[in-house]
Amino acid sequence: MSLLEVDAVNTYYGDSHILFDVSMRVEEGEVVALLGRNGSGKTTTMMTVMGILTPRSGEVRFAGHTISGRQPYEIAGLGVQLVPDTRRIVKTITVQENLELAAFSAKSPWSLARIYETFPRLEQRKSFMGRSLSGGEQQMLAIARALIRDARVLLLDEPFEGLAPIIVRDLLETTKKLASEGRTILIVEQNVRAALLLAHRTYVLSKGHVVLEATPADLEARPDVMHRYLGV
Amino acid sequence: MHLIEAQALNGLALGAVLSLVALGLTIVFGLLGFVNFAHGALFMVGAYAGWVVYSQTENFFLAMVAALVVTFIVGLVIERVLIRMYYRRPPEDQILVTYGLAIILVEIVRAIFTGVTRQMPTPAWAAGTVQLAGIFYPQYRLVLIVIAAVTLAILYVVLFRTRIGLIVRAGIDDALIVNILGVNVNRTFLLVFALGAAIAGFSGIVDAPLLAVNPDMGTDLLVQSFVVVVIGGVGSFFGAILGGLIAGEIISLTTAFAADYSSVALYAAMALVLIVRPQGLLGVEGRA
Amino acid sequence: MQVKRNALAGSGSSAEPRIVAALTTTAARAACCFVVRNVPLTTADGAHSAALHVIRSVEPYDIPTVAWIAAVTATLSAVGVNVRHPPQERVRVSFKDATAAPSAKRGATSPRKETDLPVNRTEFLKTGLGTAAGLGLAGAGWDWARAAETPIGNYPAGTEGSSVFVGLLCDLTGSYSADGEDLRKGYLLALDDLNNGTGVMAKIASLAGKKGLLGKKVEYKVADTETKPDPAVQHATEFITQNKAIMFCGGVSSAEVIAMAKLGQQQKVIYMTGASGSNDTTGKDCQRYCFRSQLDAYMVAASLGPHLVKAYGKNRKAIYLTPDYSYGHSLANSMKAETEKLGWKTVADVVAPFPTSDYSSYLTNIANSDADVFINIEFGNDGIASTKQAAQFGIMKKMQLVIPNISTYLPDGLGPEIMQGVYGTQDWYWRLQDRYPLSKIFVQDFVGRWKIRPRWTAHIAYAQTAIWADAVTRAGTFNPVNVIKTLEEGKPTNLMLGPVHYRAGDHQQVRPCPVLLGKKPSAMEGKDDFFDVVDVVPGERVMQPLEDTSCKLPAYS
Repeated sequence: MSLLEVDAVNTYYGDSHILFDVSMRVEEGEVVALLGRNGSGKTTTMMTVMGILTPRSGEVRFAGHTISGRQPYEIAGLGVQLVPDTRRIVKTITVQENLELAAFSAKSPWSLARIYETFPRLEQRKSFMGRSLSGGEQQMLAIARALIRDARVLLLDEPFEGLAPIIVRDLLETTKKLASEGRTILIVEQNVRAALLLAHRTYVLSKGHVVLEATPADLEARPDVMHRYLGV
Repeated sequence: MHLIEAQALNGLALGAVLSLVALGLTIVFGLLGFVNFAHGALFMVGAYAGWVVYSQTENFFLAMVAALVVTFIVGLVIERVLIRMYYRRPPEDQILVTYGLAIILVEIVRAIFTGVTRQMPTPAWAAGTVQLAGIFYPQYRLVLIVIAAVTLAILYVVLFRTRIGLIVRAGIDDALIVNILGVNVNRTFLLVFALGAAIAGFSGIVDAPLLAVNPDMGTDLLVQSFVVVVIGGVGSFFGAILGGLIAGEIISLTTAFAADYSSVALYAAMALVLIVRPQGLLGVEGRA
Repeated sequence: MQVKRNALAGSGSSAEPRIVAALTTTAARAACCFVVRNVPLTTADGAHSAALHVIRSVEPYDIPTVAWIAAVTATLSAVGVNVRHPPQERVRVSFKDATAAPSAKRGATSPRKETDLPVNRTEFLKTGLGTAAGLGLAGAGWDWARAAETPIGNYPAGTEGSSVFVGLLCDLTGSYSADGEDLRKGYLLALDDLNNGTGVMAKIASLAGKKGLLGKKVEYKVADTETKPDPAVQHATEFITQNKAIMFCGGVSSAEVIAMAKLGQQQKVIYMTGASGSNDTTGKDCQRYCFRSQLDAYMVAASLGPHLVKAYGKNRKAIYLTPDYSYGHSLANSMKAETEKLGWKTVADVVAPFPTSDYSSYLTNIANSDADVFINIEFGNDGIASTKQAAQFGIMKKMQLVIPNISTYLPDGLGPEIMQGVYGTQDWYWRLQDRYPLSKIFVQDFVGRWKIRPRWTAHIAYAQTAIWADAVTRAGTFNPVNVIKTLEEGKPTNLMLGPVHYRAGDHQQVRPCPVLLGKKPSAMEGKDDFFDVVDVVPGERVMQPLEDTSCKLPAYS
């Protein structure tokens, strides 16, 4: 049994059908990349897993529990943690309060000290309001917030989007480190190269359908697919 | 010029009550994302709950407690059975449903107590006047300022020094991320709605010795406190206080010098704020 | 907002929750008004007024919201609720209504009524059929005779069935709601007495031994004016156009009354005022189709002034607190003129908007003036709030409080501690039963029906209905021109204040004016025994000379 299973899911946004019979799985300790062009349904898949959207048919299972149809906080309580593409840092509270907020309902949270060790930049900024952070700092905080919850699966939605290359490199290192520690990660990334560096396995989405499941090596060996579905 | 000082003091007393009422409105508005049109009705329910207890016991503190408890419970019930169904609905539905609720509350109170205005006297220990710099000023209005200040201080501690306060403040900015981070926002919404109701009810009883206690007493207040929220910024604690004080002073000072323009001045101030700083004086940009 | 709604999962919005929202609102208003207070407002009316409120509260007008409200209205219409004509065509469905059709000569077009009578179905059927049968032969001839007359207003259209309709406009919500509720109780008692041939109605010579009016049952409905002229005129218009009202009456503020009087004149339907104390009602805004029974401001001042001077002496300095509309200015000006004539000085007239809840700014000015008499013109809940706050400012310790026009439930809201020793007037006070036998009957019947004593707005309601009924009977027709001319003849009707009549030139009632003085708490016998009646001034002595009223009555047709 896989840790996370998406089984023939159909998700709608209002009346428009976004995901068509999407199925995928993520094993314990695995890093899986979800690839595809803009509008192919990657973020919708993440939101469906997190419980922000409810599928009209199909099921999402996590560690044996059916989680589709549950509320996000319940799903988070089971150990699934989304880092949304818009980061959603709470603007009106401080950096430290953002972290404390995340720690409230975690079972065995990371200590703040350990977070600050991983992200020294956040310690310098801990009493700043969320709204005053730069894009890179926001992304760090968003990931730190997920880490402090000690989630079993991290859902990283476009973690590198819009960041300066030097910051991307830092974050990539951090993510690699997390992966090497055995953390399960499902990552959505436009930056295909970065994603392929991290992932053990990939799914390619197009217009709401899973069109391909492949290892990074297989994918790189098929330039036609890379070009057609990923624009690379 | 004692008169100007007296009018400023009037503005402070009026502003203190407005701040309190607006605070209840603004946290509910901020967290739930819609205006609770029943806020004025809850203000009235608090006044009646307090009046019932006061007329039995002649004890104003018990009356304040009764107003708090009753409106808190009413808030819990309303959120559970009605408001909860409307979080995901369009704002028009939310306006209609809370508006309908206001009518229900007003008419229930009218059915029980009739439309006749009830006599809510000033508590005996605050019924006199005090002499301040040569003018006589009602003691109760000074007491009112103190009560409002203490209540605001308590609410400050709750909102800024407790776990639930942090959740509420975060939820006001972004309820979804709080949900994603594993916090049961349903419970938070329930609590906040009830807290907002209790603040309204409490304001109702402390304001009752100044007002005519009748089922329609909250109707006009709702509009003024909404203006306060707009001036101060939706969801902002200090915005509600600042907005309340500004509104109180505007009303009092314009009344003193150009009574005809007092409500015009208030709306003009609101318009000015909306032009210069659409999110309100202390509001955060870019929120709903 | 979009994302926030997603916070609790799920997506999409279909039509039915919107209907649920609208229905909650509407059911609220309908259920409360109609079950609790027996006012037949309906679901559609609730939706309509809720929608109006929402539209009014969204400023600047937000197009999607307004569009959405239109959509709800359309949806409600589609599911069978007629929203276009809120209070008329939606009638509460009960067995009482089910019997309406057989009793109506012209069948389905008969306006249905709210009876409030404890009748059962069979009884009602019998009376209904009896009336219909009784009218059968006479009815034919009557129609023929009437065909020769020129139609005017709702005459004869509104009189062709076995019943006529009267629209009652009461301030059930808003600042004057306590007065409006008393008004409503007065109308209901009056119309039931008229239909049953009981109570004070039966003591009026022309009505004695008769049921109904000219053999017809008088049906009625109550609408809430919200203490505002706009809803008042809106509901009155609906009564006139859809119920073919032959007369309408009510209102507690002069602003409403003057607006409705204009409507009556335009539509040529007789309007009997509710409470209205402004001189303008029978002065510059007087109407041929409008009759006012309450003391106007001039009469209040002329009755009260001499008592004030007698009690407090000459050379006093008065300060006024006045609500900023017709009634307030009118009464303040009349009081100033009268008291100044008697030697008092006016320090200032402090004007506050209507309505107001916090009077501190105005009272600061009053407290710091050198006046020694505080004349509070404020009325209703505003009167209570302003007087309470004045007491807190210690104003009554240095000034004598006078309330020239004491609203019905003001003493209850203030308590006898504040009311003792306060001079004022009321249109009528229940203690007058010691002087007038019909007042005694009125109080008895009212207590029998409503379990509380009537206040003066109930008196106005009853008296105005009775005088109109008397005039219709004496004229022998509902034709408003004949009825108005009968009222203008000045032949007195004997009522709760003895014989009263209207002055032909301005339609102000000539009637006794009670002057009241607040009792000490220790002297009160019961909790509504607030006043001693110190004087009842004959109306003839205190009428404003007609040439000073600036009233020019418009034409009859």
